[in-house]
Amino acid sequence: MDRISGLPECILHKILGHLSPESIARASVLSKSWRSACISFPDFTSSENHTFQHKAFLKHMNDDMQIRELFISALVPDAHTASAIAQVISLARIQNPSSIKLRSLSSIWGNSFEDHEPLWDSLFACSSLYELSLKEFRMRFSSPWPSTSTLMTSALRKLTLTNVVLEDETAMRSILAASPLLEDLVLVDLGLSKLEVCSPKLKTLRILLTTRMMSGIVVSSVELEAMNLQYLDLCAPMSYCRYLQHTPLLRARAYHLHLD
Amino acid sequence: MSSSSTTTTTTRLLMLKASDGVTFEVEEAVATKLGAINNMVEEEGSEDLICLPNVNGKFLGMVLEWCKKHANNNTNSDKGNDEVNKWWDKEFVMDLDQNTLYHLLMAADYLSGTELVDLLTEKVASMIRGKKVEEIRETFKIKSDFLPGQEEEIRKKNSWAFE
Repeated sequence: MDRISGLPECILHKILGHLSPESIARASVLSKSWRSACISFPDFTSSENHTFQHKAFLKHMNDDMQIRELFISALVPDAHTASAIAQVISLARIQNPSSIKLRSLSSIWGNSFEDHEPLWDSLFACSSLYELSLKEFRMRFSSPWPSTSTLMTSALRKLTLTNVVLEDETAMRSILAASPLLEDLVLVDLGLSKLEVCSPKLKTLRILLTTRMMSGIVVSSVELEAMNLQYLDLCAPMSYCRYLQHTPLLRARAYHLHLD
Repeated sequence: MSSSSTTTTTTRLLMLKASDGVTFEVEEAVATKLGAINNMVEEEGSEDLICLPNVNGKFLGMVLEWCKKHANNNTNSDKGNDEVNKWWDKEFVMDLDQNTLYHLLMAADYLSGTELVDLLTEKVASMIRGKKVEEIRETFKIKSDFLPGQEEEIRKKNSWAFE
């Protein structure tokens, strides 16, 4: 009987960790569970050599197909790994990707703001991005916070931040200022105490707060300046909603408040 | 600790109880090769009986056999011992069938036996390395559960690996 395929994904990842990219690609057609493990395999944890091989793989892809969507799910335990991913993003940037989704499999609590910093330069230089999604990161732009010349996300329409901790309001303000066409903003357990959203084209705003996040860092105050907002979805425990303040500018057509 | 105060190593004994009630008496230095046990010992301190409801006695026995070998050989760090350990590890994983590999991996992972997990995952990897998809499926009795055409599509996308 096939027992190996029933191993938890984290163990399958460790098996894949002993294999070359060719063998991993072959393992990915064995069955659905292997495919899933190969897709989520955090292959940036290993040596420089491995990253190099991955570069070769990307180059191979460049030859015959365009990268429209880039999804990277990886353990990002240190600044070194973040730099390796930044390199891959820089390579992909030449292909003008429309969507980048970046998921860190490491807990943000093990990381410092410095660890993740190398990523932001390469990521926010992707001027072709229509959609950007980040999960489990600490975000800070090197000070002084970047001018509009380094943040080039002017085509961005949809931004999703899940479990992203921001050092202060400036990072959020910079991103929004650099993305004037943003229409859809989703913030799940954002680590930022004071949220200011000033975005002229924004149509949909979803803020989801769950209690599992640390107290004191979750959003406790929201200020909105979004004259085209049509849909606002706030989903938060009652204890948080007490602190939420809305400016009178708000004229959302649909307004949903979920209170536990 | 009573009479052996002159030696540097403590010979405290721990009782490990498996899911099927089988108990093992092992030296602390052996059991703490497993990260999970090491944590329990450090946290609880005085507790000598440790229950492991997720591990069957048969496989716990094998895991501890590995620990014993590696704990003993670690005490005198000799270059020759490294070779002996490698040889012993090779023998240990040589004839493991798939079912045993599965249970040992689950046990080693649950007990945070990092080195043992590494040894076992390398064993599984060696059964995949350099083989064709059909050969790997045959080795592990894996049935493809893709929809018709799906597998061909994935192969086409990764054609570089199938050349």
